[in-house]
Amino acid sequence: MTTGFDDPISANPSSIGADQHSFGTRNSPTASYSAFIPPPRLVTTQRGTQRLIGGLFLDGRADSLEEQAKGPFLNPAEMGNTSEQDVITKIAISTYATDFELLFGDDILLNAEQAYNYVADAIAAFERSTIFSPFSSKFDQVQAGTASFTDAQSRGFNIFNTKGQCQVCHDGNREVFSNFTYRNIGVPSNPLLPAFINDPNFIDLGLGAVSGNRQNDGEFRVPTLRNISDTSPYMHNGVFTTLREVIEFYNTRDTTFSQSPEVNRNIAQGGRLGELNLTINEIDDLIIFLETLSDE
Amino acid sequence: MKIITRLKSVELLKLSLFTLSISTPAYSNTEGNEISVSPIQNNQSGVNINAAPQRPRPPQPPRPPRQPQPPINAETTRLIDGTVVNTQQLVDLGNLLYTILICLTLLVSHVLHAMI
Repeated sequence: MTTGFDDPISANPSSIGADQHSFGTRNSPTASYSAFIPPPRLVTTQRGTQRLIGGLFLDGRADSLEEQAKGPFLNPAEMGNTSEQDVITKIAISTYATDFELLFGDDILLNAEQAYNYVADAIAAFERSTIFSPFSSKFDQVQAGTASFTDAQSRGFNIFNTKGQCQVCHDGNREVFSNFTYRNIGVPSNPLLPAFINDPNFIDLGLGAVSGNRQNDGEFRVPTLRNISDTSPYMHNGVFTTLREVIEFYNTRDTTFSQSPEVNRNIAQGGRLGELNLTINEIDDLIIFLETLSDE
Repeated sequence: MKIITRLKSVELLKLSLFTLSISTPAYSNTEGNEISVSPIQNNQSGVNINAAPQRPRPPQPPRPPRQPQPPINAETTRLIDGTVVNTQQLVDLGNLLYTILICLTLLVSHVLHAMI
């Protein structure tokens, strides 16, 4: 089975809806390990500014897995049900309506609002199960002492933590390789994104559209790196299709990378981000290490 | 294990996985390759990402911190409304909803699409 828990059709930068002609505006993130994403909270940085950490969706607009689970059923670009009642009606005529009633009561399907909340509760519980977070990767086996990295994997892990500076954002929580902060790293627009094809001026403000704070424009939550080699395309708009493209972007963003950022403000700096000076061999090793994060 | 047995419908699962991880405004390709956009309110947050950003907004109060929610392992689960249910039954139902309901929606959609 797929370990990435993301859109199995990786050819599209964003996912096609149930109606087979609608598209979302973003690359769908993986649902694996989403149980580890903390609820959103504001923290004060050393410079006295407040930053958001956590929250579901790439822009943090959902507080919990339950809230997140309610969205896709009704979103016209996804499943396109017309109402909560529409969803519950489909459950009521399904073969597992009895399962629902056994768990929540005989009359539960007569109360669409409450039943819909329970739908979200059940899906969230499923997403918190170990199926979504098996921790069965080569990396986990090495951590447990039951396997060893190859030389290339070891070199890649070292680059991850040193010259590559990946750990700055992807090591705050080793369990899922994300510190759950929000950053605008200067990702370029994706000309293949349906939203961009429809409107070349399309700009996704990410967290900025949710918070209303211009300082958040272009910021998206740092994603997990678990199963990263199985969850292409990459970035919020799917502009990169391979890990090599992603690393090359981090490597050359401020030197030879030729494309302009989608949101040309609030761009994350620090360290040597954008001019890492990684060699081809180092990039190869880094990719080999990242492949060890895929669950088996 | 019941849940694993159900997961053997791998293709069914693959068909449906993507729909849960996104929730974005609609871009509807209604005329062949012509893609039209309609600014539809997001059902969950009320945020319309297609539309021009609305500024200024009133300051948002800080959201109260909540505890992280690690994977479940207890025999029972207390739901948001206080209801206590059997965890495994809840997960099994979530599995069904995650897979079959989504596929049912896809099927109905395809049938309707074929009838039009």
